[in-house]
Amino acid sequence: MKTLLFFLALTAPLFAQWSPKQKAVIAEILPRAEESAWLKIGWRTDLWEARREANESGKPIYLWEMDGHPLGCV
Amino acid sequence: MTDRLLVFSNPEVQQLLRERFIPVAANDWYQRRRQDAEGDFFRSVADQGPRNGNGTRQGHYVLTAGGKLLGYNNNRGPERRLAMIKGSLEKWDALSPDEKKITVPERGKEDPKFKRSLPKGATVVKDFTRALEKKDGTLSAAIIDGSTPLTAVDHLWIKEDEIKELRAVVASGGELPTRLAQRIARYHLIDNVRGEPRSWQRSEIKSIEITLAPGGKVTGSFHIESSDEKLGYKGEITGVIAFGENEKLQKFNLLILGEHWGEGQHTKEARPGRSPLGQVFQLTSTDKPEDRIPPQGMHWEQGYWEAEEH
Repeated sequence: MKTLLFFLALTAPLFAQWSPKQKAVIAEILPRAEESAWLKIGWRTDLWEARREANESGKPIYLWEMDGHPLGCV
Repeated sequence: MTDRLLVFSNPEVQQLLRERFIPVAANDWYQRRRQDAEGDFFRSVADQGPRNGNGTRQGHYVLTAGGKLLGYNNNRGPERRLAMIKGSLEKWDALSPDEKKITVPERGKEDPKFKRSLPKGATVVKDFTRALEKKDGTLSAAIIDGSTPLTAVDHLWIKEDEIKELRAVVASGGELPTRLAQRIARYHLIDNVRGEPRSWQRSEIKSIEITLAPGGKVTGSFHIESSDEKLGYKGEITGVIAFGENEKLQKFNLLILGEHWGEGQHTKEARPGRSPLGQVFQLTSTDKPEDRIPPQGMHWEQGYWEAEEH
């Protein structure tokens, strides 16, 4: 029990980590909802597996190919 | 990035891609170079369109599982992209059953030079970067030419043994291990909001100090600058790295605020002078494909993992 209390005392400040000012700037930096809408499409990242899935489902493949991964990088 | 907002946030595009296609995203830097069955397949598709040279093959392709190109477009307007998508579906509908259904061969051995995979037990930290501006002493998302540039995203990979090392530092306090600090500095303290920047040379890291108090509170600072002083980034780091009672990493939260200056070959149109830049690092799951995208700075894999040596 003492160990747990010591652990909680040590880490409590960490869980209330950010000041209101820091929280505000973090909210400015993180993507807004409209910036993440493109992820609703359900992108796959393996072209070979996409071939199998397309073949089995009877659909064509839409390939988004960028110099730098479209789902990360920038 | 513009595609994400202008095209792939369009409800009609979203519905079409979800319902009528298998959507896949790939990094052309690897795909066009890899010498294996997947590389051969991709190049054979690209060769049917306008991207049939030795340079970049980036763009948007519609193809069959067998490799027949049905459409190509690299325009960022949603109308022209929709026209390409719909035109490709018409071509698809006109195909014979034999052209739609094939036997997909085994993938075979993949080219290790151009294949990156998350190591077993590795941790992924997403890092988000946004151009900021300061008004009345408050930092907010910058408005440039009437709009707010999007937040950029990249991924920091940390190996399992590095997490163990980190756990000891969190318990006792001390400096973030040099290898990890250098990896963060060289490959993740970057301005990637206007495109793909180059990573930093080791000699350009003038200082990187990331100190953990016992329990994991993080404070730090950094100064990175090119030898001609035209490109640089200087700022402060705060945050928390915390482990749970099961010794599992629970938090890798960093807030990085600094000033960035200069532009690179693929990051033109920087704001003049020194401009506020903000970054947030957060631990993420590895459940979704988009969470397992390799770090952008990993073209040279050994250089990424051993950032303090090369």
